[in-house]
Amino acid sequence: MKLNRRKLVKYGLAGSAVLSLAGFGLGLQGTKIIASQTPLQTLSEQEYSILYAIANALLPETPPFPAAHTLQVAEGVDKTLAPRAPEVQTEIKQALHLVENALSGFVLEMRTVPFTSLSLPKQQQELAQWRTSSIQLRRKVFKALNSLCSAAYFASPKTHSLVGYDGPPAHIWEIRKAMGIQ
Amino acid sequence: MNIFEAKDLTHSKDISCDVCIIGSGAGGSPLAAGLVEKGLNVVMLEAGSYQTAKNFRMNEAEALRNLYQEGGLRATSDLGITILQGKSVGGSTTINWTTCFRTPEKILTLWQKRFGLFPLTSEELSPYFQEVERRLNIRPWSEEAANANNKVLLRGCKTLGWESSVLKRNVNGCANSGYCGMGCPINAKQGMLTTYLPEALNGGMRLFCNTRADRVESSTTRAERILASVIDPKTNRPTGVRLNIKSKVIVSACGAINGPALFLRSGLNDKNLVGKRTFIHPVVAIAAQFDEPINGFHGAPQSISSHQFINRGADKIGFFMETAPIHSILTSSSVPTFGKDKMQFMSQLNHMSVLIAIHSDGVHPDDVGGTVSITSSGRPKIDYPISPLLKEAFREAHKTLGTLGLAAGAKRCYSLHTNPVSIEKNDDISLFEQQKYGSLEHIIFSAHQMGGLPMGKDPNQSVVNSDLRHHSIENLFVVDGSVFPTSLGVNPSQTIYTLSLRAVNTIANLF
Repeated sequence: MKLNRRKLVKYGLAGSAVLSLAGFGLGLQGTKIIASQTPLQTLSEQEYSILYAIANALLPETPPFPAAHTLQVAEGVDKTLAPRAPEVQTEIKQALHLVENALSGFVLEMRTVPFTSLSLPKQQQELAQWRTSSIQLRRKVFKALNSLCSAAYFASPKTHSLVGYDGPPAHIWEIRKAMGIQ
Repeated sequence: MNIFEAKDLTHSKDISCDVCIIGSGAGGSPLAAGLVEKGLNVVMLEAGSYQTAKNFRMNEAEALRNLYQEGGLRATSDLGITILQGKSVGGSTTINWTTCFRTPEKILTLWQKRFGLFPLTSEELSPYFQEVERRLNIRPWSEEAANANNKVLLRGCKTLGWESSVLKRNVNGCANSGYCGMGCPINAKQGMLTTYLPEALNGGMRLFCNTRADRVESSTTRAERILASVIDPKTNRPTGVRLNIKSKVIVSACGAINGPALFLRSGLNDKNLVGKRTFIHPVVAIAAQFDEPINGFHGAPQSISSHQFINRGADKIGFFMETAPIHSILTSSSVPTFGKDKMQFMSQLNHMSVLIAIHSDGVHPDDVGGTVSITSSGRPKIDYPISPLLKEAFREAHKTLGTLGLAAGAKRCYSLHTNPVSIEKNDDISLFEQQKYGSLEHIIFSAHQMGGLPMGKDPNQSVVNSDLRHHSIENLFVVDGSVFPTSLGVNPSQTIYTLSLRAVNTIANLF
């Protein structure tokens, strides 16, 4: 089945509406809602919850690396998006709905439950398919979400020692001090 | 003080001046300093914030948020190419990696032959090159001071017998921190913030920061005024305060993406040339893993280059090789894997070298590059299709970088494909042959944006002439990388500084 960007976005957006009307009758579930630890600036509670699930699937606990949620990755992405153009925010929101949506999930992956209700291995399996999909829009969505989540995760100083990053060289702080740059 | 930030701009107002320069980067600042010295009343608009060394705390997230276009998220419309471009006072010179080259002779010759830019000879430009080199202290870095990341490139080239050279950098008192891309923390970088801008400000130039030029209003022959909006730096949204700048001469110096977008918002596109032939020096990369620490986040980001493959024959796109600094956000967001694979990669971050191949787009006669257009809200939209010519070059570049990494002693080299290729010996190089190349098949990024408002002799093929003056609007100039009719095949900042200095007399002579 050949899907272009317009059709996929249509599935994502129209799918949400269809599901909200018919989902109950079809036995389909809504998004598994997670409460944010900080007030949201850009995303709705539902969008945050989808992002929360995606972030934890992309960056799961892998000792010694902590899971995304412990570093508040979804909150970080929400904050990153706040000053961005409305078009950018809309695209990311559409991407989140597209991943979550059971109707597009059914068309693309034969799944009937939202992404947030899948087990972690199933979520990761699906994201792997988005990553290497022959449909360019799916690769675009994956890249956008993977990059945003990775940036928010590795911005945390808690990851620095885990990647061998020892921080800015001490002598630079001394030079700044000597130059009166405070 | 003649620096005005959003917090100072609480009421809309009219402003008059001799010259209004839109953009404070490599194009705008040398020109501003020169015009102020000639006694002209200069106003400069900068959409970004006024950030100085005290704000440059070597924090990658903070730097991306405050110093880069779209908070570091600027990309082509298909998200296939990440575009790194500065957005603060000083423009990209505040965050570039300080690599300087004179415009290659081969490129100037090409511009003369293909675009009729006969005045732009090495001889004509030589005094401006020299002046820029003096003012910005552009000098060769030393091989000994190269960091381990750059020494990988050097060692690989030497082992393979490939050309390599030590780069020139615009620094003075550099302490080899490795944080050039986050704003120099000790003012060693001789970017616009520490050189031409203070000169212009001391001479009386007024600098309006957080002020975005919305449109230029003009007749068919004269640019009349600029309408600009003050932007709240926290929300990145207009505050409602507007500036109406009436200027005898208007200069677009806001770069090769925002400049064409400004022209399009202003309806200055009668020949349908604006935004076309946008070149970005598309970059592909591999990561080479070593047993010993590389610590590619420390030390001058770029100090060695190789132009071994810049001339690959008339029917191919050439590329040159440099390195990229290895900070955790930029690296992690570029690695296309996730889960355990990403963690495994990132756990080796301090043992990774990142080698990059930078493609010289637009030089091949069939290579038309990309296009800048605008969305319904006026935002720049960048489309850059990856042509078969470029795909071929990307494939060769991956093979070349893999060969280089192994020759330098890497125990393993990774491509940054959506399905990464890992190689450990020369026989594995053929694995790169089997991969797909193009948008969203692997990581592509750009740190050099050029073209979109090209210069040339023919008004039907170009937007400005060799004096950077608009072909039909006599008091409108473009002074930045958007005038390049092709890419350069070298890092572009010095060419922009040079053209900017050359434009001083042209513009001053109008008064």
